[in-house]
Amino acid sequence: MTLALRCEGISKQFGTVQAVDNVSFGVESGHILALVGPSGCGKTTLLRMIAGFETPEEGFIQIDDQCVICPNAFVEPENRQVGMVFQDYALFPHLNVSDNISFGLKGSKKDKQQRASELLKLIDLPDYGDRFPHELSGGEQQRVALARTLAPNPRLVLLDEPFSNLDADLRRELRTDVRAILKKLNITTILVTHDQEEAMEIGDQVAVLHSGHLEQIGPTFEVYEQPQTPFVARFLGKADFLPVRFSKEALRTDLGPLPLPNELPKGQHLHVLVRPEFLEISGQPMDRSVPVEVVTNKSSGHTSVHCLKTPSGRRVHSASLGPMRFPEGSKVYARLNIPNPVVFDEMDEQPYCLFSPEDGPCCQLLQKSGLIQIQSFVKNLL
Amino acid sequence: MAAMQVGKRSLWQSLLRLAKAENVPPVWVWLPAGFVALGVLLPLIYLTVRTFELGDDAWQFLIRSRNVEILWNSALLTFSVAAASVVLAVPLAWLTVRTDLPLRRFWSVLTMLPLVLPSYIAAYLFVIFFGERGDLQQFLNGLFEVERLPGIYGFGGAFLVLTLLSFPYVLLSVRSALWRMDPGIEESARLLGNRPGKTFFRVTLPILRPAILSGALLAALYTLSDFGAVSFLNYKTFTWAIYLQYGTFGRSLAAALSLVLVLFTIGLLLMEMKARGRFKYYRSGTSAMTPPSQIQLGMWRWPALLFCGLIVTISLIIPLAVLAQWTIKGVLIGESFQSFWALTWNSISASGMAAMVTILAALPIALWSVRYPSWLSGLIERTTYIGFALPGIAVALALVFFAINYARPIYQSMPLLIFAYVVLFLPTAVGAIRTSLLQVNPSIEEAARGLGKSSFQTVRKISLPLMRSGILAAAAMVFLLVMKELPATLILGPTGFKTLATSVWTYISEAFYAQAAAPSLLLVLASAGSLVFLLTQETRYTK
Repeated sequence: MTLALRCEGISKQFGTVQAVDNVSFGVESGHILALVGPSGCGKTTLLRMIAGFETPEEGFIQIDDQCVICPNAFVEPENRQVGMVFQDYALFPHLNVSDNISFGLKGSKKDKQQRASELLKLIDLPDYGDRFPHELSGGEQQRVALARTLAPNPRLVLLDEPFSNLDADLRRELRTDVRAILKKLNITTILVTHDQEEAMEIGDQVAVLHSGHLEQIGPTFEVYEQPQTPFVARFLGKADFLPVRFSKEALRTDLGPLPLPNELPKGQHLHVLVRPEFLEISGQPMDRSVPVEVVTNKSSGHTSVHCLKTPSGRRVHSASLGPMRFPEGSKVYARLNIPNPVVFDEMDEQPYCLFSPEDGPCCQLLQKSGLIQIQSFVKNLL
Repeated sequence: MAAMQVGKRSLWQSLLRLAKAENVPPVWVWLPAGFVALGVLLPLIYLTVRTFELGDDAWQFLIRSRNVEILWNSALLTFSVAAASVVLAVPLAWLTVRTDLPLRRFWSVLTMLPLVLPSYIAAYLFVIFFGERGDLQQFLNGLFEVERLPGIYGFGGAFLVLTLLSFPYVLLSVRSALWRMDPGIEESARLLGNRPGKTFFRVTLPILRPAILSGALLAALYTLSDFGAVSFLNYKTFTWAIYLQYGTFGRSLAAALSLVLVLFTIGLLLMEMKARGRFKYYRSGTSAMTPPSQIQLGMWRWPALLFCGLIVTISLIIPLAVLAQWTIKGVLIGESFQSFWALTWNSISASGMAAMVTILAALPIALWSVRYPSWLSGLIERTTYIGFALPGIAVALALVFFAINYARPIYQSMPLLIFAYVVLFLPTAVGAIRTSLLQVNPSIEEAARGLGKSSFQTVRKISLPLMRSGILAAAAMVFLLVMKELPATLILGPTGFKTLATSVWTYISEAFYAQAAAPSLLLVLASAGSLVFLLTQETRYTK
């Protein structure tokens, strides 16, 4: 395995704001890394440093063993052989689709045209060569932008929130297409997004950034299953935390005992991560089950989420397949199934919600829509 | 009774429906708008009729070699001023928007200010300074014993003056296009292997093309319709020839010349439309704007500063310094400002009235075209743009003939002069009012209708207050333009009616430069005042 990209000790300041703080990571050749974090966490800055539009104050960046930013070397963007798809696609409005795609190519006109038509086939828009960018829909513009980026065979492709201007259905469809194309061509890619679902779906690896600081990087599902910080746990997927006590070779919680984890932090305020899929509920008592009360429920038909109140009054969520089963206020039995519990000390930041304090997904919605400021504003008010 | 009403309504509605105007505006919109459009057409129709009456004579007259020379002179001046404006404005716009040029704000304000100088004032100030034996020659003579400078009269002077006054039009449009441009486009070009210089020529310049063209068009229209500078500098263009014909020989021949000038202007408009091509160059995305990245000039900032400084010195500092110097000279030889208060009052009252009437004329047209769009409203709106193509001198002549032949009582009366101003400056007002109306969300108006207000009440109580700053801006613009306007005021002004502009003209034609200085200064100050007002309206607008 060779590293297609290596970033070491990258730091960047804008005025007094530490946009990126001592970040180091590598991407293996042919892998897709999803760089996620809330808005303003520094992910776009990091991407722009790799492209060469920003210069870090400290650290170095290597692409395929070529040092593009070192203490005594700086490779201009046009010489990096890095491709980038911008959030607004940034197609050249004065050129048609073919000329847009062949813009970065060298050689004879015929070769260029041939390569352009190859790529048009790849993105499944074979007859679009003569159209102009303003005649294309958002999804088509996006695919042309990808083709333009891929045309000169870049060493590395950067995708900056590439799906954020598309509506939900199209976004889902394009994600699958884009991943398929990138995998087919075996191109090393970094995807920047604030959408954790997108990150999990596209990324082989995921890196979570938080206020300029790299919280965790690893294979996507490892990061999901073994988050190293509460922030990562909350950012990737839905997370609740239950206080645990340590006694007699086991962990005790409101909802029953849990096996011992591999690593157990030392501390006074231990909490275990509870994902909705870890919590099974039933109308009948089960083995090891604990009675709880249903606070709210919602269902998309395909999945249902019940918010439950534990005996000590904590709120946790349980997800199950199929339409919702238990009305609000009813008594049900809950059982924790956590094979490898993840335990944290120091729950520094409690998620806070504008509309209903128990409701986690609503927080995530706020984070996604960039309304995080409203949240902190309300927090200050209270 | 009811049947009659239905019958009456259906007559009008079917007429309008016949015109495929599915959106039928209320009568208080379409009636005045229709009248205004007819009024605007009047000068053009009259010029045409008058020329055709002449028949062969007109043709014989027009192909006289002197007139061919005039056509050539006009074309040469128009194209070279437009080209030179682009050459000055594009680097200036780029420097002030995209680089770390020191004092960027300062330069961007100063380079806009030549707009307040009327061309005839700039022309005479330049003659004083750059003339054969002007201030510059005196200065150089002291240093190197330069006997005389090349003459400023003729093409050279007209070119210099008009370029320095009209490059801000190009600057305005290129600057705003640069601000609007998605920085991702240039960054994409760089990542695809183009050095910054190559990126500029392959991507930035082509994208700026529509903005450059529309700015150049404004500069060209300004040059073509300019009367003051070319006449004063004795460069023989259309406006010069028309004024000469009007004063001496056949007035019908002046009409023929005016019509050719109008055709020339329309030709320019068509050329610009064709050159602009079919591309839509607006930003496609909706995401938050990243500010355009700043280019570090490094050592290049010294030549860049020199370039900006030179342009500002020649286009602004020299004229203003000469003006100040001659105002003082005027005061020293006993000219008093006293006599100018009457002139100032005339200028202000005429401009104020013209602004008011123009706004009233523009409102129904803007309302119709924005709220009830159809091909008919589009036609009406475009008709008002004739004012762009009609040089002041052509409108003035057409109205003089019309008044003498058909409306003797209003010949040389204030209403006719105001009417000329409306025809000339209506497009400016319609444009500004349209823009502000487009920013009023129609559902706010619909909500008012839903609460039981009539369409008229809705406009009066909802739309107009919301459009206030746009309307004020339009009024200020018309005010500024009328203050500076010369040929129509000269030809159509009532006997004995003098404004600042006409008295400056009278003095400088007789080379009474000291006497001309004080009214010039007042005129420049008044223009600057309305420009400052405009700029403050604009900032309030963007908040």
